[in-house]
Amino acid sequence: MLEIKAIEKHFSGFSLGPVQLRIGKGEHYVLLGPSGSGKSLLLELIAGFQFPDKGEIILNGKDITHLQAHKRSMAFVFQKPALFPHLTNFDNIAYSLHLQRINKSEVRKIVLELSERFHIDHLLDDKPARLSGGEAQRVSLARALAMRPAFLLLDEPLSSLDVQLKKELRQYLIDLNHQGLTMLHVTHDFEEAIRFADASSIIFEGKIIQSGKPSELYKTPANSFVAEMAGHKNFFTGKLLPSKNDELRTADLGGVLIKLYSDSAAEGGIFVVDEHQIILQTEASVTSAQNIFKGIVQQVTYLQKGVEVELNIGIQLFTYITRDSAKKLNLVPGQEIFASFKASAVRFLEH
Amino acid sequence: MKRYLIIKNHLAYSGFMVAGALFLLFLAAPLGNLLLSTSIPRLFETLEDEQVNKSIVLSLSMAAVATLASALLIIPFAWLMVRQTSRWKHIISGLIDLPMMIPHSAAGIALLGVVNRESFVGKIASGFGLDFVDRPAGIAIAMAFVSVPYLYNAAYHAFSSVPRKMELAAANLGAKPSKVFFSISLPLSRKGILNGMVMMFARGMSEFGAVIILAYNPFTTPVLIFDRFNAFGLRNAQAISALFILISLTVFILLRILSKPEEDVRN
Repeated sequence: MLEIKAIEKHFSGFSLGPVQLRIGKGEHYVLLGPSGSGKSLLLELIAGFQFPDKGEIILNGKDITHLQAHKRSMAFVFQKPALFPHLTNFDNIAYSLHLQRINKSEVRKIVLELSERFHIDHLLDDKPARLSGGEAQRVSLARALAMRPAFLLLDEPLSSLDVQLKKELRQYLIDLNHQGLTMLHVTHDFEEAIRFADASSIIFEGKIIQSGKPSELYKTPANSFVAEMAGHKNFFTGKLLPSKNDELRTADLGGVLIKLYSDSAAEGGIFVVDEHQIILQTEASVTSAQNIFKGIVQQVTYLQKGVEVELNIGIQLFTYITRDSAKKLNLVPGQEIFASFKASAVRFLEH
Repeated sequence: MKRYLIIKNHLAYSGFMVAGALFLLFLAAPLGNLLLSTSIPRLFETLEDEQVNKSIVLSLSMAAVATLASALLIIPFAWLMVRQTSRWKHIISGLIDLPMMIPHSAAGIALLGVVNRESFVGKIASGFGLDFVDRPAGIAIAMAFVSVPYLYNAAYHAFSSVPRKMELAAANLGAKPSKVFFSISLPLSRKGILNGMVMMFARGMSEFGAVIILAYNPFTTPVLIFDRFNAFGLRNAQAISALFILISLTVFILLRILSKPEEDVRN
């Protein structure tokens, strides 16, 4: 378990903290924040690349606040893989093993095992300069894991990859976490957060402004910044039902069936419904929208711009409408309402 | 591909080209004249002169000693300085550059003041059987004193261009600072450092001002050229000069080829 206790680090133009965090064993903890929020700095403090001005870092009960980086055994995966260009991929992966003076045959065994797992075994004799972005990030992950870390620190490792490679690497990370590796994952991408996180925090201008399970964070944001950072409130865990023919599919969100477009072969995942594409009507009418639900208005909140309406259609759904529309519909809690949205307003995020 | 401002067909283009050509001529003419004024048989004859021969071996070997010994001391220090944030590092870098700014004869006098046989350092060194005045060791330290800034600056710039995260990644994988230095920073700076060593060696073997103050004898080639010029005049000195320039050029080109790495260190 990692505990961050009132960590502070001050520079002339930026201050981090005081930051408190608690990351349980086996958790995939996501720290979400925009660029310049101090999230990477916090990760560097935890890795020992910099030392804090105040506060403590406790790893499994041991104070490591001032321990040098090379003694921490927390592997760090950089946003852009910092592979050593003068070494082969084999020697990159074996770097930590050579430091531990493990015998050659054992080193070979570990490197081969890791490289087979990450499908890079055919690249071992090459230098990193020849690798594609995805291959390089896989080598860097294999290199980090070779040291058998107690903890994995991830600094936006997916952000420089294209969609397909992201998916691949994401799966590796999920598998690793399921095998019990604790991770602290820093990202600015809220979708990554809801895909991965057991727990998460939002950091802004050097301060943690909200912590909790992603669902709590996004559904009850502490302030407008968190709401904006989270982007969407309508996300649901569910199952994509198999389809025989076309791309129009059905998803089962705990008993509520919605239609969406997807060519995914995956089953489980997260479904996001765009709050801005939900139309409210007081009466049912024939529309081109694939999804029409009868629901009950739960709450009407007047925001600076527009109105947020929370409805229950079997699942909690949020939608934004203009003040003008709210007035026209005369919305009050308890009222019956029809909500419709197109199949294209739903996105499926595979696990 | 880099794109530059196109200046062809402009008056500036012709003007700058003429100015540059004149300057190249200024550099090439004395050297060309020197080489042309000495026939090849004369060069071989000079090479057979034992005193010349010895002076060349002495110049090259002492420049090599100076370069290698300085490299051991100054390269790790340059790495340390790159990682310093204190403002003292600029003062220290300025101090290391100082020998390049002062007259080399003055540098020789300054050195002699510290290492002469009556001085504190001189006495201690004598205790270990090491004499500097009129000895090869004196030649080596005079060469090192005036040429080490070339190596230090090259190493400093080479280490500065190693991405910070490479070193952080190595430390994160469990490498102690000394291991980071030897396994990551040094190999990634190899090209720049070797270039610096070549520059230092070339500058050191040609050193005259500081060397002549510390050790008139045994002769290095630059001192021998001066001595022959005083004793026998221009023609005699020309042959040794031509020979030494050819040797310097050969050594310089050879070392440049050797110090060129097989591939670029990029990620």
